[in-house]
Parts: sequence; C-alpha cells; structure tokens
Amino acid sequence: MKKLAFGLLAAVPVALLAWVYYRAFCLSPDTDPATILNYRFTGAAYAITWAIQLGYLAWLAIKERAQNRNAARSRAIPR
Amino acid sequence: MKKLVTGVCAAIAVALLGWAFYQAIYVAPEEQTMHEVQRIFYYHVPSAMVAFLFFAISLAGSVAFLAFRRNHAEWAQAADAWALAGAEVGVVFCTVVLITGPIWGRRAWGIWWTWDARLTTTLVLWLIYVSYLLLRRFAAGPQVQTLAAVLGIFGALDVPIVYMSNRWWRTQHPAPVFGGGPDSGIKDPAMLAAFWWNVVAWLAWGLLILAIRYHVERQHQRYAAQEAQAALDDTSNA
Repeated sequence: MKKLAFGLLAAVPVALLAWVYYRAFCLSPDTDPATILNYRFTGAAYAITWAIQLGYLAWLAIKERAQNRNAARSRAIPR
Repeated sequence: MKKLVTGVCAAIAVALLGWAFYQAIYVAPEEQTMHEVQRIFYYHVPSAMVAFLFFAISLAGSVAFLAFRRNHAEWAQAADAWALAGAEVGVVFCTVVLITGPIWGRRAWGIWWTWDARLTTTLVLWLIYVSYLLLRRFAAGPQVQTLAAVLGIFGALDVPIVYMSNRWWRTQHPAPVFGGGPDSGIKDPAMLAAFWWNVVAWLAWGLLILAIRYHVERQHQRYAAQEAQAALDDTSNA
C-alpha cells in the first residue's frame, strides 16, 4: 500500500513534466512565437508549483523518518 | 486506522487537484487579452488565499501559546505546533505566489518584478515568516517559543496590508478580482468554476500537509520531552 502510494506520488511529477514538454515543445511549426512563449511560461509556472509542493512533502517525509530513527536509536542506548 | 484516514484524505486531495488542473487547462476558456498565460491565475490566486489562511492559523496558534504557556503546558505545546505548521506551510504557498507571479508578470507586463505595494508587501510577508522559521530552527533556549509566537503575531499583521495594498495604493498589480468594486469579479461561469475548483483543491492539499506537519512537530515535542526526562533521570542517578 505504501509502495503504491509512493509510486503514484512519483508518477505525478513525471506526468507533469511530460505534459509541460508536450505543450511547450510539440506545437506545430507554424505556431505564433508569442503563443509558444505563453505555453512555455504557463507550463513553467505549473511545473514549479508542483515541484515546490511535492518537494516540501518529500522533505517532510524525510524529516519524519530521521526523527523516528533518532528516537529509536536513543531508546536503544543503555543508560 | 490513522494511516487509512490519511490515505483517504490524500487520495481525495490528489483527485481534487487533478480535476482542478483539468478545469483550469482544458475547460476554462482562453482569456481575450492575455490568452494562454492567464491560466497561471488558477494556481497563483488560490495559493495566495491558502497562504493567508495558514498565516491566520499561525497567528491563532501563537496567541493561544502565549495565553496557555503558564497554566496549560500541554495545550500550549499543541498551539505552538499549530503555529509552526501554519507558518511553514504558509511560507510554501507564499513561495508559490512569489514565483508564479513574476512568471505571469513577465509575459503580461514585460517585467519580472516591480517594487509596487502589492509585490513588496507580499515579499515582506514572506521574509517575516522565513525569519520566523529561521528563529525556530537555529535559536536555542527556553524563550524561543515565546519569541517565535511574538514574531508570528507581528508577521500576521502584514496579511491585511497585503490584501488591502492594491485598494489603498495605485499598483502595477491588477485590481482585486473579488470585492474590488462593481466591475470586479469573474464574468465567465467556466472561468469562475475553474477558479473555485482550484481554491478547493489547493485548500484540501494545504490542509493535508498542514496536518502532516503538525503531526511531525508533535512527535518532535514528545521525543524532546522524553530525552529531557531521560537526561534528568541520569543526572539524579549519578
């Protein structure tokens, strides 16, 4: 279950990057340059938003694991 | 049971975000003057709204900490955890606002940044809460939580200034979308729906990570209390 959740979460940035690439770089060659720029800027804003949010979530997960590990280690040390 | 509830909440939040994304990109019509780049609005404005809400939670937590710290130690610790979680998640959303705004501005105005009232007060708000987090991270001693609570209260005073800045002063930033007079508001129903879906989705996501951050902080407080108790026991045994 945990692995599935992590897999799904990891799939989000991959899907988003693919979407940004498709929208920004796979437009037809006769597209207006201003339109291309608009698509790229929008894609960048969406991708950065997701990168920040998922990056923060990943940092929280790492922090919690480190915290639990340290607590378990300090409990294991005989006093 | 707790993990199941978290999993269900996470699934709901992610499903809402997916639906809101679809609404923003594929359902909402293209705006007539800014065209495609206007779709940044659906991430920029909800992020700002959620950031303001979380700074308000941080304010409430800070006030509660100061109120309870002498008589109800356990309540004060919980309030402090809410204050920290609110400030940290608020900074994450405020960072999104400060990055997506200039990206949009570069295409709409031709510049990345200008020192107008809305942008400057938002940057000041972000700096205040980053300093709050730095204080929590690097300062030591028994007064850190109290100092942080006071800083959190002062930081929250900037939120209404940010909100009112483009009403009080003439700014490069556009006029308020809501509550800005008779001409304000989103006229197109599809655009309005996409906007509100994104508000709901980002709020759900924000509440989820706020709850996770609160849980992590409470755990940290418990471990710190256990370690302090163990150190005290060691001293008394020696």
